[in-house]
Amino acid sequence: MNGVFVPMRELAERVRQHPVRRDWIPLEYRTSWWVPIFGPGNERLYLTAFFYPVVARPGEPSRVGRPQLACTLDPTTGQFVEVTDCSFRDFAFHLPPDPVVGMLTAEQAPAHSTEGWDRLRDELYTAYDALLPVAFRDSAELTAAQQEAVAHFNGVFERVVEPFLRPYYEALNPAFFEWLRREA
Amino acid sequence: MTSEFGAAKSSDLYTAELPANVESGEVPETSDLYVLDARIEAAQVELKCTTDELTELIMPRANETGSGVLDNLSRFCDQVTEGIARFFSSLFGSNELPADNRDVAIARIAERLQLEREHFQELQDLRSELSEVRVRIRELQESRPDLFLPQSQRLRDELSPVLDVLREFAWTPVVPTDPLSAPTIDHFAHRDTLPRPAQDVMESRTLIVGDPAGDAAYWHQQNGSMTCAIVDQEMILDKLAGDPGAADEFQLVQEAVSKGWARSDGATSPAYVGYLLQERGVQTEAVSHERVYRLAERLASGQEAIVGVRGEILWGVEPVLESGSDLNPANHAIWVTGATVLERNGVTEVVSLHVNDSGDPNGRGREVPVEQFIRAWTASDNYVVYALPGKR
Repeated sequence: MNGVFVPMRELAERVRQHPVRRDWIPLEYRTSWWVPIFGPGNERLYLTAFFYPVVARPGEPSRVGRPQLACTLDPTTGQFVEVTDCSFRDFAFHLPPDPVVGMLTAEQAPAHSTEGWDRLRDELYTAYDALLPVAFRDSAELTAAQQEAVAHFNGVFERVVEPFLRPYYEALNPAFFEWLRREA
Repeated sequence: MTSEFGAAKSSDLYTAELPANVESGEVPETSDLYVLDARIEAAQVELKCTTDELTELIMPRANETGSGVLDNLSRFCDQVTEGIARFFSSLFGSNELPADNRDVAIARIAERLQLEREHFQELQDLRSELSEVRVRIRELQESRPDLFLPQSQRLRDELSPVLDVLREFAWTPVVPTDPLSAPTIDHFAHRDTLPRPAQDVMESRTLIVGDPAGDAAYWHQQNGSMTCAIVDQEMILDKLAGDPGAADEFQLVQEAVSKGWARSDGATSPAYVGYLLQERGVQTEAVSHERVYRLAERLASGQEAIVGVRGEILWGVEPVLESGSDLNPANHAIWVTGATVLERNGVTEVVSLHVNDSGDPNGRGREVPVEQFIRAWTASDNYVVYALPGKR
């Protein structure tokens, strides 16, 4: 059983300050959004994500590379419990090996200003806070408000996540997205 | 006598005593004008008036109060005298006024003199208005002494919230060889002696620390997409060798990957930045949450600096395209080669930073305004790796 989840925005700040992220992940790598996943024994909920390169250059769209590392986090503490190099164990081995998976362009961006992006990111953080306590529950166990929270999370997540990265999110934990599609 | 003069805050400008000769209507000396100017500036700070507002309302009257009218009158009298002489000379061949033209000439002169009398009257009205304003201010001083706190105390109170920002930009000394001998700067010291002659405010000098012009010779654009940190070290090694071709990006990437200091794509973790320098005997030091004035001090002492930044902010590409869940992430490393600092009134502030940016085709010795640099640098929590070339 999980304890109390750290609010997602605070969790993001803890990740930012964590030595694993701050010192050992290259500057060019981004942290993906987090995907809920059960740990061994299906007793505790964790969050899993991948680190992927985003190369920015003046006057060019940013190039998004294939995920290079995967990690798992305890959402009650913000501590990393696992970091895996994809060259050793690739969670997305079934996906094409192309080093560049997509481009970030202003036209396709979910927000067109810094403020707009901040709002969208905060909206998704908040959506996580409502989702995590009920993640993987059956429909019968969800209240109407909880079902609404799940649907809201799904909507915001779809808006924020780049389509070309979607298969990699799915690969992190297919079970979560099956549940999300079922309940949203 | 309220007019636009009374309605504006300009009345409060005269809480300070004007120079005696200005008050009495004498032509002021240049030094007096400086004092007056400084007092206007002090009042501007106190009243939070805009410069335009003050200029529009005060300066025309200040000129009239001072030498402007008297000078104009004197010039006019000279012109009249010369004009009459030329007029008489051209018409009559002498400066004697014939009897039949005397009435016309006298009428014209009387007309001009009347205009000048009116001008004088206007000046007198303004002086009366000034006196009334002074009386009102003195009354206000007695009834509301809280509005007239000592200048320094008020400035301290007002500036307190921005002190942190000031400390970010202001630093001293330029080269502190011994911290214990560094002078203590009171950031308010130059405010406590207001009013000061305006010319003192202009006493400043700009200098460049580091050697950005020389270091620009070692810049080159990175060949790998994620090799910025390695190329930064390469450029520094080239500088230490005095040869732009001394080190090679490809070989350094190979070495860093083989030793586990970089990933196969050349991307280097912040913790490993500087390892290629250390391998060649150059001591390095990593610092987080560094201040820009400390960075400038280190540059001034001959050290090299590699900092983590948000590239798009450094390049002025906004809005920044985001991806993932990170909060304000850095994504690039650059070599800071120098800083432009401004010394003014005993306070030294960093104005801009000079960088060699291998990720930017125009990144050779580029100068970046300090505000923009700090915004970009904040993304890495002001992370910097110093290279100490003298310590091997």
